[in-house]
Amino acid sequence: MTPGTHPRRRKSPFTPARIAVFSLLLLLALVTVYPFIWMVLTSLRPRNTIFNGPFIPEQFILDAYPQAWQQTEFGLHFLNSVFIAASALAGIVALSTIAGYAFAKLQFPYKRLIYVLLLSTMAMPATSLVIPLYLQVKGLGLLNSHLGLILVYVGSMSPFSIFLMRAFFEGLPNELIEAARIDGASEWSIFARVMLPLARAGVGTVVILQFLSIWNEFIYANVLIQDPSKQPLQPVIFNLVGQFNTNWPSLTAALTMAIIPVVIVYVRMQKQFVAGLTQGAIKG
Amino acid sequence: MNSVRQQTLSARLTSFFLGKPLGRQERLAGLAMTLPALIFFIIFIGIPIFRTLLLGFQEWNAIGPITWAGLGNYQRMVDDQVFHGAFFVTLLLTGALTLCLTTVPLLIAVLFNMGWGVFGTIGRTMLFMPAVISWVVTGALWKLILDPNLGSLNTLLANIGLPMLQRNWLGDPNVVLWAIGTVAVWQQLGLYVIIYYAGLQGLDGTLHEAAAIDGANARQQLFHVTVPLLRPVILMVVTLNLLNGIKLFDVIYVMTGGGPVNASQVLGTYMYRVAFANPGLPEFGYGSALSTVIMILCILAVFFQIWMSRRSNI
Amino acid sequence: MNQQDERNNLSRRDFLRVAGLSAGAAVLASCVAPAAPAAPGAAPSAGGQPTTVRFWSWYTDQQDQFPKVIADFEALNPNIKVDLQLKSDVEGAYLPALLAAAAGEDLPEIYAPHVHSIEFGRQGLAADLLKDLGADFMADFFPSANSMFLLNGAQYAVGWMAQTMGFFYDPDMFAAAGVDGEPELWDDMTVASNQIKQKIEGNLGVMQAADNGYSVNDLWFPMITGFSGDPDTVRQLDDHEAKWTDQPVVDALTLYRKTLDEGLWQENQTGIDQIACLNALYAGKGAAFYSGSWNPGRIYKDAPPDLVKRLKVMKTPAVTAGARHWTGNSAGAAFSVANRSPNKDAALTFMQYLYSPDVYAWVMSDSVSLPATKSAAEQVTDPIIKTMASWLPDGCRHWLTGPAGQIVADTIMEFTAGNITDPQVAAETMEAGAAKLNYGS
Repeated sequence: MTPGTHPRRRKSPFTPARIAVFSLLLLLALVTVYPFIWMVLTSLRPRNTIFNGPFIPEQFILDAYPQAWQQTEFGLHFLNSVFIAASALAGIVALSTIAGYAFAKLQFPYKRLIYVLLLSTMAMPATSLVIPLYLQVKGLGLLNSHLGLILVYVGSMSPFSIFLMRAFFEGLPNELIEAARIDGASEWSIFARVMLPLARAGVGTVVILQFLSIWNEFIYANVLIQDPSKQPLQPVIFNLVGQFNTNWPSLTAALTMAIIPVVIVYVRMQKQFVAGLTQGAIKG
Repeated sequence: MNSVRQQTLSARLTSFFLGKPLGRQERLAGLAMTLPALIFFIIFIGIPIFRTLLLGFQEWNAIGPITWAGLGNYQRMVDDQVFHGAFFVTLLLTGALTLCLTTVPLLIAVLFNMGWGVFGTIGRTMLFMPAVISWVVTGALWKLILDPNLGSLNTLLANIGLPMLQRNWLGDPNVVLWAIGTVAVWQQLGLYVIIYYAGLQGLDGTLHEAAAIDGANARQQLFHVTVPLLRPVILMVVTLNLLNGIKLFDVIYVMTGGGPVNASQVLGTYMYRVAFANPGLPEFGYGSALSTVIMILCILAVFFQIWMSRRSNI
Repeated sequence: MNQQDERNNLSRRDFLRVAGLSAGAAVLASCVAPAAPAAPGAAPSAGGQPTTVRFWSWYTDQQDQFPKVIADFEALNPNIKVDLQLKSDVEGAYLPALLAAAAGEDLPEIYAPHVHSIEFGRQGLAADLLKDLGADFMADFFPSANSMFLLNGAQYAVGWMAQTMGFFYDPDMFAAAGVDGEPELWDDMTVASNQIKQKIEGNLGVMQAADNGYSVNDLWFPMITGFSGDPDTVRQLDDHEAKWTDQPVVDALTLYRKTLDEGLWQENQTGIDQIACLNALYAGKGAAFYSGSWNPGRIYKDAPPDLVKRLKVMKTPAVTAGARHWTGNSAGAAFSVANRSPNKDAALTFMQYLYSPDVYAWVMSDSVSLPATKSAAEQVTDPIIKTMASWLPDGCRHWLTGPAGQIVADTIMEFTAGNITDPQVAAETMEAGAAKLNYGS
């Protein structure tokens, strides 16, 4: 019953304190998900009971979903989002594992300067970069294309991933590198064959965090992609919020549809996520 | 012959940049490994940041030509009441959120670490739910819940016999910051719980055992064993909180847009308003100057972190 | 730290890797640059490819009608393709995209210029539609729908939906509270609202969405015209030919102050936006809502059916007994044509089709919108829109396109919130700010 102890060590029986803590955590979890429950219930309500019906509707109506699905062309934008997120993630993982390893384990000139430069990304609010980024992407001829948005995500999200991967690699022992060097392995093969396989959990953490950021990103997608059929999901959802803001069932149905994919991804991957953080967070 | 000359040139260049042959391959590999990230950074972030810094000394409405303004945009901040208010609210919210989101998640993580098996996993997943959804959805959802007349929060208060607690949560200047702060905590709590929980999982249990044998109670163990061991994690959480607080934009933007009458205006939302939603012409010069202020505050926060980690000798 | 002799030789493979990686990154990032004419409509294409007209606005009011109009147009003009983009949130989504496009000198061929219409024209980015579409095209518009887009005789935008303002109300509530008829004066409206709040428990009475300066201007600018009696007054203020300290402005501020102080509006009105007002109306918590003619279409879709049946609209009260019932009117919804686009001609062709009498009248009536042209207004059938169209002769400006927009909006918000209470002080604040600005020519 001691806070901070290893869970396996002591499986205590039901003590009053344990029951109290359990109730507290349960209450906290319920309060946290209450808005989601309310959202789903509202999306299933008949229109005329929105404002004065009981919390759990007497009758469930699914009408709002097909309507929201059609109006958003959900399938198309969902696929756009999947494509953009997958491509950008591939780039982010490649850049951040390689660079994160170098920052953690190698000595090279201007290391500190390069690191600080990269991290300065985290100091600038995204909204202030909208117009300069637009001009930049337009200059590259990549406006209104998935590639342009993907490259922007890779550029803007890699630094935080590098930060995470660096912390992760720092937790791995130097002895492995030394041994590989003695065996005559090159720096690249040490990275690819020895260290990267050990960093799988860290990669999992980066993938989850950045998948969420990309999937939920709105500001750049709104401005850089003009052709509605190429847009990912978020701008479409935002559009719907503006249209449906006095039509609660349609609005909540659209919101529910928008969050289902991320919730599924998170629930499926959360074990790796925690594992990655566990190994990466504590260094020495 | 040609290749020989090239080799000597490349050798000279490598010597210049990489110093003695000893460890040269490591240095070269290090540079090569960080180069792609650097190139991406320069093209997609570096140049836009540079343009933003430059625009801070210019006037531009995006429609007409750019003109130089010298320090005009920065001078304007001196008299700009809305900027003063936004600056204050930014610091206030950053401080309050950092304090709250550094301590509370740690306590919750410690409670989760008592070992609840599958219930613990479910509970942490539930807590993390708000962090996986976009701010577009978060804002829309909470606007419905906090609607003064029909929102489910006010309805709930009426149903449980507490109608006197009903408020116009987002429309009353005295309440709005509390409402926003609560939603921000709701949104981010789970992430920090999971970070702390992961940190606790990585700790060596023997130290706690030793402390327990020495007769330390739960509270003493928390403060004298857990917290010192988790120091790097705590420092990271503080830094993330400071950066998120200073850059705070989305939650406020979707719920109040900085209103009512600037009561919840922070630097991020004010910058957005000045640039994109000005009732007059857009002012990208002033907006960029405001962004620069945000950036400087963030850099100060990072220096604070470095200073702290030096001091605590990690 | 680690010094192994083996590592001193730079292996050829490593060198190639370095080169390959950096080259790869560079290729990815920059070499794609000159390729792919990604922006649609970057150039008018000869022969096969149709010319693209990008058509941007936030007018989701017509989202069901636009696709049909575009399909019909494209069938008639197979060499032109119209790309519709509707972003329902003006400040959150539409303006960033529009301003970015303006900054990149790549404006969509047809766009809603928001309050920046005159600046687009002044900088040569908006076409003079009087010149390009001709006087015949302009003849059918209500003058008040187009006047705010005029600068030195050039017409930089044309109205899409006219907007008159009034009170949408639930007559049953007014009757239940013992209010008969439509209040004639603002003072009568205040009495009525207080009566409703007293008689019907928990009712918010008459509501105003006062969360932003635009909405409050909708309300108090017609009061200025009411006191001056001249529909040109607000235009003069906008161009700073008149002063914000002039008597009609101070009188209007005084009257607005009185409505605030005497409880005409709901509590905390600066914290309640249009959506919250509509929701309250739907839920039977508010009796009336001051807003514009863009609402009926949405109300018909979203409000409870029995309320839709009852709902009525009453005109803006007069400022003094016997005075005219001036109502805010300008086509806040309007379209400009990008002057420098290579596809401008195609855009003008589409504009002509879009505003051709039959097409335009159908779009307006099918979407329950208030038209900006006289011929379309005659074909309106919806009773509420019909009533609001009948007020067009009493139309006066309710928003600014000039540089003083910001200081006026900021000040009136402080005034509404009670941070400034003295009308004279508010007027002086506006004038002090407005006098410093550059009105150009």
